[in-house]
Amino acid sequence: MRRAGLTSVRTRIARWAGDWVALWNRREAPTALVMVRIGVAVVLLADLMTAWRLDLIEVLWAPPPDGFAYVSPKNPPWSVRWFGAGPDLAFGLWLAAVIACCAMAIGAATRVACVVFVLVYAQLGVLAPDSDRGIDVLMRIVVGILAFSACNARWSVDAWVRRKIGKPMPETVPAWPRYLLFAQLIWMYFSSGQNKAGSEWFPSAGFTALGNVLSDPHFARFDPGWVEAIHPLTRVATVVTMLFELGAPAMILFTWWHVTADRPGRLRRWSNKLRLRWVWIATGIGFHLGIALTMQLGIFPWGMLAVYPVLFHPDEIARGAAWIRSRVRRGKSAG
Amino acid sequence: VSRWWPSIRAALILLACMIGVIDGCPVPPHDQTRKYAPEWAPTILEIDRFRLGLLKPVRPIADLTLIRQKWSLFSGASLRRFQMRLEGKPRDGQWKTLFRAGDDDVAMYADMLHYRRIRGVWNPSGQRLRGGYDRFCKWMNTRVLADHPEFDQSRVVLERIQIGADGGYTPTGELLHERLLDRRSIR
Repeated sequence: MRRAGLTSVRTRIARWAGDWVALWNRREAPTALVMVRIGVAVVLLADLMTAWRLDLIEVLWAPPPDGFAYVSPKNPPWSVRWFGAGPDLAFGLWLAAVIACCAMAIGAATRVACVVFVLVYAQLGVLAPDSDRGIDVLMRIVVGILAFSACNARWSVDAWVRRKIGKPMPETVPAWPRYLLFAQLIWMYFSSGQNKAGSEWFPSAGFTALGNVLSDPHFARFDPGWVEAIHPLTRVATVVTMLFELGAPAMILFTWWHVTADRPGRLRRWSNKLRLRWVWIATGIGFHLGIALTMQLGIFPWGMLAVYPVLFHPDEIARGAAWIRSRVRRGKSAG
Repeated sequence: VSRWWPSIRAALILLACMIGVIDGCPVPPHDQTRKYAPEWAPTILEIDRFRLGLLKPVRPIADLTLIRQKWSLFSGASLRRFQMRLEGKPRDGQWKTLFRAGDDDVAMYADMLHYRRIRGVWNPSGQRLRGGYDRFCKWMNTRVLADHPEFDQSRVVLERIQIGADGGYTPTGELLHERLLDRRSIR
């Protein structure tokens, strides 16, 4: 009896392990990963070029008197040990990051570019720790995962070269980097919800957090007078934000139920009927576009949205692109 | 290897996910634990020590790439906030405001000061100043005095503001964290 129970547990564990291996062994078209590669590279490039346009390269990444970077005297970063701190190092690191971003965007020596970017961008973060925000950490993680992926299998110099030498990239690539990026996005929202410590995010302070942030002159894009007019809406938005972030793990279920729509189950049926997966994605997009419109947070909303293609299966992206093309064609013929 | 690779990869991914969850575990800061839940503090500290011990082998990777899995986006959004001001003062004159955050009428250096990487240095985290605030203020004040020979002094200061219960804010006149530079001190 006991042995039979043990055998059953062992069989179940073996089945789970098999399913886990099979999940990470799937293949699909590389479209989503390619979109993330290009989107993330363009966003990072725009940010680095802003630093250059504002003449802030030395200011941010060189120590005093040229700038206000921080170099730990006890434990200097490898870039300082090798090249010495100063304006030359600041410019060198910035230039290396820019070149890596350009290479990522066009997909030239993509893996090398991704690795170089992560290492160099981390050095920029060490030299200017207060300037290295959550979005920078996310970008390093995303680019780090892309380095292990076949995100250069389409729309890239690498793919073009491979075609020219008669060794084209495969039609399908490992799907695991997309799944991992998907999980990263979910974790980021969930963790962010867990770490919301201020009472303003909760009923005890009347869900006033977003109203407060939109009134903060350090972040608000517009004069805060308009916030008073829509303050009840900001409270609703605060509730939605908390539900969105703390409910992020449910997105994994929504997606699973969407993919296995032909299987039985009342929750699955309701989730698909109410299109909860699409509701979650639309909330996220609305959340970030709202931030971009009303707050000055730099690349944060655009960097986050650049990772959103991982929420879609490449076939969905292909269908979406075909739908847009047909609309454009119809519009042109009507015109 | 190719036969075993899918299994090895799946195991490595599971390990990476577990490390990420352990790193991102929402352990409250030690000072807050001692302040708000002193009876729980020893237990939480012990758990945290154990957590950090588990992470020790992968710490070099995190240090090299500067990645972590504990995310905090606007964790606090208090009603007691600040409004940063940058001011210059001619000899025997009054302070002249060059920049006031969120005020389009005094917006010298606004593009630079609102750039996210620069704001990250002068904008306090909650009620606490950032580590680079002093270095930033010294650099900024030096720049103001270099750009404006008419000023003898320059200062960065944070004015306390009170955000209203229904939005908007009221300046309180309380000036905090002033960092001042006199031209004579750089000569």
